[in-house]
Amino acid sequence: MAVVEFDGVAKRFGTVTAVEDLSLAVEEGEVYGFLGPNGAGKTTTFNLLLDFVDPSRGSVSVFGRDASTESTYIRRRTGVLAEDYGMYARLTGREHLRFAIRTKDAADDPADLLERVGLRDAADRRAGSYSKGMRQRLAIAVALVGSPDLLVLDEPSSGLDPNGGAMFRRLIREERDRGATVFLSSHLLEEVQALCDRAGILSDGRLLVEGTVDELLARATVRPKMTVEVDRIPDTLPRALGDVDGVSEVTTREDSRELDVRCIDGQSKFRALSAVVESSAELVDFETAAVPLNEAFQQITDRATDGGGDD
Amino acid sequence: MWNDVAWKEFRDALRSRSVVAASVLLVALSLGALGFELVRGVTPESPTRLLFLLGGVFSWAVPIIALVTTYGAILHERSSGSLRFLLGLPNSRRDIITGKFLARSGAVVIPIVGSVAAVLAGMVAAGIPVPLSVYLPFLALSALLGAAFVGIGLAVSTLSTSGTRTIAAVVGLYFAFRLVWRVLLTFAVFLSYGYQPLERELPAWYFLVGRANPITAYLGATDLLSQPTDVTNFFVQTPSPSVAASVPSPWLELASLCLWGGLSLAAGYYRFSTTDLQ
Repeated sequence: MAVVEFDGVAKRFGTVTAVEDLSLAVEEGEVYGFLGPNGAGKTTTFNLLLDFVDPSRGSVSVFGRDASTESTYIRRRTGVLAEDYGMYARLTGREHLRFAIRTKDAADDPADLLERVGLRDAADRRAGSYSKGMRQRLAIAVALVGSPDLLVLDEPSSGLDPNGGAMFRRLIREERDRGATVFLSSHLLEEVQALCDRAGILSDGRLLVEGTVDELLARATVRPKMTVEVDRIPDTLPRALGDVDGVSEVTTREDSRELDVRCIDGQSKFRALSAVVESSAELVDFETAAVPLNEAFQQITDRATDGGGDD
Repeated sequence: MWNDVAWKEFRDALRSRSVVAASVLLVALSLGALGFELVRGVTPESPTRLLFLLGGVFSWAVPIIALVTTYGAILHERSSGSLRFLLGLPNSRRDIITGKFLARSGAVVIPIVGSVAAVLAGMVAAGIPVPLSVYLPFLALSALLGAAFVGIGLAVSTLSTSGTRTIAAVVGLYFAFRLVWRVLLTFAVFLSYGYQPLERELPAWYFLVGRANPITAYLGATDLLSQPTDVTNFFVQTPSPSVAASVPSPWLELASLCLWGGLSLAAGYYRFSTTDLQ
């Protein structure tokens, strides 16, 4: 059963279209990740789900209920971390949680929740004195109140340090194992890859593709890049590298002794390095880089719009 | 739920410096009125004269305190993003408006009660008799004035996302109630009856239109309670006996205050519930 369902939804603000013809479903028990550059419409999508804004066209339903007319019911069963949320500077972390617990008629102990997000020591400090990371931890704790059936988290790990990020991933796995459905957005590919069963890529208010993260990456033509530095570049080297099995592209830069080699996997990187060693050039150094998310997006975006890229 | 919002809001308001400052100010002004009366010399008229003075002080200060502590209720939550926090929880927009109205009214009523209590304590200390049958209705009336202006401030708070425009609207409204209303009404009387209208009997419509203004309604109702014999309020005329029959006091004044509060609240709710949260 789909917990979240968007059906042909459009949202316009004046003449600006934030979301266009969006249809998507988040199934019960899955962790669904929303990827996309800033301004792609991720936050508007969450705003529509939470009835912060009304759709211009189409319908949004959550738990089979209409998101506009039965929003309170929906939010009673949902844990929310909205983007650009603010805390009450004069209330403490514990008071924020007490308020959320009372509002949701939940039975949680604020101390347990603060412990889960690593804020126990700051429980009785006013939120106005919290750092951005601490506010984000508090917001995550608030979202967990009442063991919600659905978690809606807009850029949940923004502002978190690496420890906080690891804590967040652990919490999401715990919530999923408990049976919660999770709908989150992120601009970190690694995070979506580590957490999400499925992901969708949003660009210019349209859902371009959906699938597992590996499927999405396979659809992108950009391969991980390896930079190889040699003492000199013989004329034959680029061609020889290009012939290596699994190497998709070789580029050289002028006035440089570095080559950029794109390989489909680790094996082909090793074969490419072997080819360098066997050539007449000396290998000086090499470096590999992950696919930058925006590059992968760009490829999928360009192909979806038939190559007519309008940035 | 609305009661959770109200509690959160109330607790938050009590820690706000502007609310504390407003309370101190109102208590100080009220004790100032008491001091003035003591300096002037205590007479049997003192309790009612003091009530009249307090009414005057409150008619100026309470609307300002209510507007200043309320105009940001929605506006500031919108700009700080805490509205997104509030609406991420299962609060409906009606819960938010209701809770805020109750909490902010409470935050305005507390200094009113404090001021009246301080004055009454001072009166007891100075040996002035305390007619509770007059002072308790006065307290309720002043609370109603505060609540009406909290409703008005809340409605203004939902109008715009711009702080400057909202402040301009608040200042404009205060002047409209305090001054413009009365000036226009006086012009209307001049137009109808020629100059020097106060020489003759003011018509019933002068009082009906005049007391549709919540501040005038409050002053009119206070006059009914204090029945001052040796002082008159520049801002409020008393209907002559032949006209008084057509002026349904105190129901007119009470209805004016209740309607201002209630209708503002309804307008604020309508506006808030139909606006996208951006």
